Amino acid sequence: MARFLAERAATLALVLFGASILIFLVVRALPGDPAIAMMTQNATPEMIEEMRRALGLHLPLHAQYLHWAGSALAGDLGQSFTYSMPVRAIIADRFPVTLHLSLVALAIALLIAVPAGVVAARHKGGMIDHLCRVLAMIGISMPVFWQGLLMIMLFAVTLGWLPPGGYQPLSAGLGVSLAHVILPALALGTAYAATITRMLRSSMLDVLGKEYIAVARAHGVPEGTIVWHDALRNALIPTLTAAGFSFGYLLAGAVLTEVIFNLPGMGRLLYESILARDYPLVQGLVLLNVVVFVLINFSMDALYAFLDPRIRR
Amino acid sequence: MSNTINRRGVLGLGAGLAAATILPQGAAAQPRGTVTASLLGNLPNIHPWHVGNIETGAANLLAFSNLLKIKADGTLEPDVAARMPDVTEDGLNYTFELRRDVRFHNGDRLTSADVVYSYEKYLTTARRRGNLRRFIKEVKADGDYVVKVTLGEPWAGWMQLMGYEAAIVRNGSDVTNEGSTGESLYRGSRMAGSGPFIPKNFQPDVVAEFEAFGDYFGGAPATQTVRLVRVPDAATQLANLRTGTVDIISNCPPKDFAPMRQTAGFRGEARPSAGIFYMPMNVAKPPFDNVHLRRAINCAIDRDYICEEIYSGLATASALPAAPSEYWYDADMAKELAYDPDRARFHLRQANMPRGFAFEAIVPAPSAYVEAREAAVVMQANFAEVGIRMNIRQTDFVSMYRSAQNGDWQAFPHPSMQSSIEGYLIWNNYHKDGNQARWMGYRNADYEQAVMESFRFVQPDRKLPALKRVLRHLVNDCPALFIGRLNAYHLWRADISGFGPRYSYFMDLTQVRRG
Repeated sequence: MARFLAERAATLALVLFGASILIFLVVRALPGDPAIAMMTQNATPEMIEEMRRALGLHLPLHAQYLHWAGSALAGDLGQSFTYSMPVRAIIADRFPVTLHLSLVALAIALLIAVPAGVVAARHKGGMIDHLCRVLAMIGISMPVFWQGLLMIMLFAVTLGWLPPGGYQPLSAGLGVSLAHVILPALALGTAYAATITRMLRSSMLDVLGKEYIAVARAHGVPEGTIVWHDALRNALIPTLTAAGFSFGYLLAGAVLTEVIFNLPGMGRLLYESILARDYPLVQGLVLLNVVVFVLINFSMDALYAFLDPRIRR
Repeated sequence: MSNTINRRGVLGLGAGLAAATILPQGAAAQPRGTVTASLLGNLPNIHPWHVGNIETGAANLLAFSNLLKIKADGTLEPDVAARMPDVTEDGLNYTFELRRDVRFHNGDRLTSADVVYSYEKYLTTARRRGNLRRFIKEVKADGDYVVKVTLGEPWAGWMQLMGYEAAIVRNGSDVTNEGSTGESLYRGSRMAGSGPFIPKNFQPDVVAEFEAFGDYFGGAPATQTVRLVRVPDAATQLANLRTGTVDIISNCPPKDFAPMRQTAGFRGEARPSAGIFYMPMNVAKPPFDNVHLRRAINCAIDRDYICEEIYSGLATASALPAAPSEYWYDADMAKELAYDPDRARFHLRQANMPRGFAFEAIVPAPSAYVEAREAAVVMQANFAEVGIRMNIRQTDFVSMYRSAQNGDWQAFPHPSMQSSIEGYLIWNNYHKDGNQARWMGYRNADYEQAVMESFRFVQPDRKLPALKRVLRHLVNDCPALFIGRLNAYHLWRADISGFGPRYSYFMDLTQVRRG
């Protein structure tokens, strides 16, 4: 097991190294120039050149990369051009917002998807199954920003039950914090719930058709135990993988949701740093996303290896 | 509305006077309550010398004071100066006498040494305006309360520009422009500013909070706390205003403005601003090196339709950089470039292109510029009517300026906020030394002379003859298609007063109050 994990870790380190080069090059391939973004139209070419030198953009690409990668290894992701603050500090400020939103959204997604997927599979071809499939299709098709605007209009403007946006950390009180995060989490969670529901339904149908389920039924095991205990446990493995990756996507930041609900999270930050050509900030944020995915992937590999010894061989 | 005073009005007035006499004066002057305004754009810093957008402008007005300030109608008035400056006849020497009752947030008194320090630091470190050194030759103190500014060349517009972003900070204060960008944050130090509010809490891109400065030389503010919160989506801004989460919003889609201002419980006002919607053309390269084609472009556009339908009346059509309500507007000259497809076709024939031509227009893509994109589509249709094909390339501002710097552009229809049209844009865009003139490509010695002549004077009547010459050249040579002047407009809740839109477009929350 230890050897397997070490091999996987070495592979993932190589992935990270490759990704860092790719991130660095892609960010620099964006049209436009951060020096121009900083100075806009009121600058002469000489001033822009001076700014480029101040930002270190006059150095050869390999020198810029080595400087950035070396600092990143030491935990220093550089200084944001826009905010004149360390990238690490900005990310530390914004990441809790996105983490909070992602956890609540994932919880909502699972709370909806697990019962819906199981019930739909249990009543395959019936009314409930059709209803779940239609709702899942709507959830997948409806743009999150549109859903978000409708929710704001209904729950904040018309009914006045919830605030229309903004963020309050848990330290502001559980109720206050939840009131601010529930609408965006619902908007995001329902979209992911739709995908997970369909996946779980299909897994459950597969499992419910297995021989051991038929044997259990023949032995008179109650249907509820078969479905919720035996079948669901096995059907959940591929579903949890999907949920894990959904969590990765959520942590990368949901740009539109964060903009519509005015949440100062990672997605909004990434979008604006791209517009401002804030190279260090874009690189730091994308690198963090890669690290999150790599870690999730590694955890999944470890979990599979733990659950299924054949994988380790 | 009736102007008669009824019995209830007289009684109310009497009660008010009695209360004013009985109540201690200090009690009425106590700042109270919180007012929250939302900003659509980013607020990356609170800095005395880096006003990069209207959002940073709003924060700057709260925390700092300038020599002069810009009134709501765009004219100047003294701020820490005791009165307007004495200007020598050649337009080169300005003498300011300072108020003696101005204190910084830490209690120190403001003197001429602080003004000299601020200008020196501003001119050497505010990189975006580094070129102002060519105009402002020297700033020196004459005693504790007199400051003399010497210009290298006449330029009355400098006071307008400085009124926007050259705030006065305490001599040797800890405002630093350290770091690679030269624009690091002002982190709420109580040492630096002398504005009506003290920065209290600041999270870039999220919120800035200011508390009232009781010793403000203009009198203690009526409101204890002013909050600027970022709400980056226009529809969400409106929802926040409706629910009362914010009291004032900086912007909304023009089509929502009129219905919302008529809704009970809300107010809205609009006024002409220093914003302009125009399309500069690259006159150094084909096809716009041909003046006949530029004239054809000018006559092919239905400005009224764009301003009324796309901007919902929140822009005023004008074929000139001057708005029809401004002193230097000339209706006869404007007529020469009025919407007239036949005249546009005539100019195309003059250019030996009777069947038209094609060009590429770079249009800003960010969501805040939705009207500019819609206007570009209308322009496309107008041009097509006379055989001109406008191909639209959408991109963000950074890519657009990159194209401009490289000379890789033909036309650029966009809205732009200026410190002043007659005091800055005419120089910056088309005078050989203007920053943007480097990529506009327009050169005309008599135009440049006329601009510099107009810069000699502060008084409108003395500037007018030179400005008319400037307009004459712009009409004859058409280096740009001027479409209209933008209005500044805001919406707020009806229980808020002491607030209104300004010529500069910045939100001025210094007088804002609840009730």
